[in-house]
Formats: sequence, C-alpha cells, structure tokens
Amino acid sequence: MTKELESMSAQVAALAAGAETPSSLAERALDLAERNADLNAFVALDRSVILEQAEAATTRRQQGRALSAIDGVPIAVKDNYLSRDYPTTACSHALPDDPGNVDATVVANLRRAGAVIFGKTNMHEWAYGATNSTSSFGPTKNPHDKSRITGGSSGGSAAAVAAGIVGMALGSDTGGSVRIPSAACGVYGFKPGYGRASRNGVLALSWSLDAPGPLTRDIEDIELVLPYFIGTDAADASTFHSQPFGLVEGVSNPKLVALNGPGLERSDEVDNALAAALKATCLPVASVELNQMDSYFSAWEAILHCEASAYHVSRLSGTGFSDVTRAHLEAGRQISAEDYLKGLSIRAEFSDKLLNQIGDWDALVLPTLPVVAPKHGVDWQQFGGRKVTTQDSMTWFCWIGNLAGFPCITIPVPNGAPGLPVGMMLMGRPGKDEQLLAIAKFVDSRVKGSVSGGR
Amino acid sequence: MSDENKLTEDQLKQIEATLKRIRGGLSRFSFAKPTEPAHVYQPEAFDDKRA
Repeated sequence: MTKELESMSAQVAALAAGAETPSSLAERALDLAERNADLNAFVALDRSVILEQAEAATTRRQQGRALSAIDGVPIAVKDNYLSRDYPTTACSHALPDDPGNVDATVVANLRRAGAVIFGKTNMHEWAYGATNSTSSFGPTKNPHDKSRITGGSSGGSAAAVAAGIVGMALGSDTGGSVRIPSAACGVYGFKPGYGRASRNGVLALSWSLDAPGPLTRDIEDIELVLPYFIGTDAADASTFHSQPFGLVEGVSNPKLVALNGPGLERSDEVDNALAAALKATCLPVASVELNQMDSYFSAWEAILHCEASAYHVSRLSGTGFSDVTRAHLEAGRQISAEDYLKGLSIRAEFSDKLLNQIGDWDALVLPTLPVVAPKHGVDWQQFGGRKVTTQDSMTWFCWIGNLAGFPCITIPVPNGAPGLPVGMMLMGRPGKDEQLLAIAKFVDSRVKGSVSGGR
Repeated sequence: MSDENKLTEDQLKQIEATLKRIRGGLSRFSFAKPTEPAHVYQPEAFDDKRA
C-alpha cells in the first residue's frame, strides 16, 4: 500500500537527502489520488502533465540545478486559480472566462520555484458557500468520516491534504474558505491579511474580502510556502504596500485574548477542546465579550453579496448557476449603494474596535468552527442555544477575519479519541502575518507537547 | 439549473430572508459621517496650488 505523502517540509528534506525524487513523489501522489478517488477531492488531474513536470524537476536535481528547496514538490490548486495546465471552472456550470495558458500570480511563483502543479481541487461553486456541497462535480467527502462534509469552499484542497495525497494545496478565503475546511479536516490553513498576498488570477468572489492562502499538513509548511504568497504584485493594487515575507523567529509570552459573547456561541465539544488546548499553552489568556456580532455580520454579508453580484453581472442573464448561488447573486443586486457603503463604514469601525477597544493583544482566539464537521444532507446545526443553517455555522467565526482584513490561521487541536477534528483560530494584527505565524508555531508546539506528554 | 429569467418560490424566499437579515443588521448602526479626507469631496482641494 502506498504511504501517505508526508508534510511538505518532510518531502523537502527527503528530496535534499536523495531519499525521494520528484518523480517518485509524483508517482506516490498519483497512486494516492486514485485510491482516494471517492473523496472527490480532484476535478482535474492529468498523469502525463504531472509526470512531465516531475521528470524535469528530477533532472534538475540530478544535475545540481534545483530551482529552490521545493523544486519537485507536488501541490494541488483550487479550481478558482488560473493555471496553465488545466482549465478553470470554479466548479460551476456558469463557467468563468478562462484566458487559457495563464497562471495566477501565486501559481506562477510556485511554478518558478519548481513546484509540480499536481491537479485542480473541488470547491463550493464559485467559492460562494462554505459546505462544498454545491459543486458541478458533486460534493467532497471528509477523509476522517466520509459521511461528513469537508466544509468549504476549499474543500477539495483540504481533503487532498488531510488524506496525504499532497502536502500542500492552494485555497482562497472570503469568509473562511481556507480555514473552514482546514479545521473540519484537521489540517493547517492560513489566510493572509488583506493586501499582503496577490489575488491576481484567483477568480473573485468579493474583491475586498478575498485572500489566497495555503492548506498544509504541518505548521512548518506554512512558513515554507508563505513567501510565495506574500509581497507586492504589480497585477494587484491591493498589494502595493505589502512587504516581502520576513520570518519572525520565535515569540515570548504572546498576549492572547479569547473572544466570547452573543453571536460567538459554540458547542460544548468544541469549547472543551479549545479550552484544553489553551490550557496546554501555559499562557495567560484574557477573555473579552464582544457585542453586536450579528449586526457586524450583516456588514460582511452586504459587502459579499454586493461585490459578488457586480462581478457576475454579465453571467446573471444566462443559466448555469445552481439555484442557491443564483439567489445569492440576485439578493446582491437588490442591495442599495447606501447599504453597501454603510457596510464599508461599519467595517472600518469594526477593525478599530478590535484593534483599539479590547486592550492589548498579539492574537485573538476563537474556535475555527462552532461544531465538528456536519453530516452530509443536514441543513441545520444547534449549539450554544442557537439553531442556524449549516452554511452559517461554517462561517460563524471566520467572517470576522475577512471583515477586519486581519491575518488568520487555523491549527488542529486534540478532541479526544476518536474525536473529529477541531480547529483553533488565531487572528493577528494587520500587517503582522509573520508575527501571527510565530505565535501559532509557539501555540502549536505547546499543544503538541501536551499530547505527546512532553510537557 | 436556473431558468434564464424566472426565479423559483424558494429562491424568492431566500432572497427576501437574506435582504431582511442584512437590512435589519445594518439598521442597528448609525451611519457615521466618513472622516477620511478622501471621502469628503472638496473641489478646491484639487486646485493647482502653483497657479
């Protein structure tokens, strides 16, 4: 039986030591993709395209001409990133305008470093939902329990990483679409702060909320790939003030603030797992109660639907969208300019509130999801005295990071045995993506240490 | 798949519920006057000071 692919960092080490070649990694990944076909993680996969890239990388390494440490490492690409190897469908019958033979900036950066563009992953139609149940290719299945959803919209990427088919996959995040499936599938996911990473070539959902980000098997992998996301891109004006990735080495006693209050309820199972993980950090964790979260959510929703409708206006007269996506888009057309601008104004107030009105902090803490991965076909979730749609339960906490524009990361935390995955979300200060990563590494090491008995 | 022009009853209900939720949430905030200079249109600010 083919062994799962290790973390990206471990693959890099194996390549450097000569224990693996890019071709052997690609062969293993292809075999694993075939064996896990029932997850429905991939929507485009071409053996010859993959092996051709891998063989070229193998030759470069044999000749001592490796392009970078990740030369020859397979990565999966969400189907809303343009890529030269595969068509881009956004997993919708309402197809995007694919210029063909074009890479999104992040894909181009990784390709330039020699990464093997492995395949396109399944996603919620046009990233306009967080369950991955609505896709022209059908729903994805959670590798931890196939009767459960992966969450979305980067659900195929999360399933591919969690199943060990690849060590890293690309996602995009407008209201949690990197973090939600990462948490539901037990992997790591990072959403850069708005304006730090190029959106160029990633099909828009809501241009002022969107961010591209990686999903990985280990936190070191986030550090390994963020330099290919972060920095200025002439093709994306939002990044004009973005500094290149600058690693922050270690942190000492970061100030964590846990957020609570109405609108931030969670199930006991998730709350207990988060509390145990925070206890394992041995850090003092302050708790702050936020109010009006339901109303702030309305600002996020107004911006989301309005921008999505504007982006899709030329497609709306035709057919192809699923019924639920079309209804979202039609709702967006009925939001007035006044309400859209009010949403933007509230966003500024919200960011200020988090930054300046809840004391000193280095990272804000929430569960990534209020529940563990729901079962397929279950439309409602109940937790903490709330009854909300499964869709809303997925974005329950994550939209906060997009409305504020802050960098965010989800890390898996223990949930007893044989519990389903639970994620801890950490949000950093704007422009401090690297500091957030350092804090997350600190927290992750303490949590892992508590599980292994090291602490 | 969606009909080209006609929305179903379910879609109309979904749209109505979405808009009700958004408008209800937004109405709980007073629309603060923007204070950023770029948001205040002052034609004289664009005058060429060298003239």
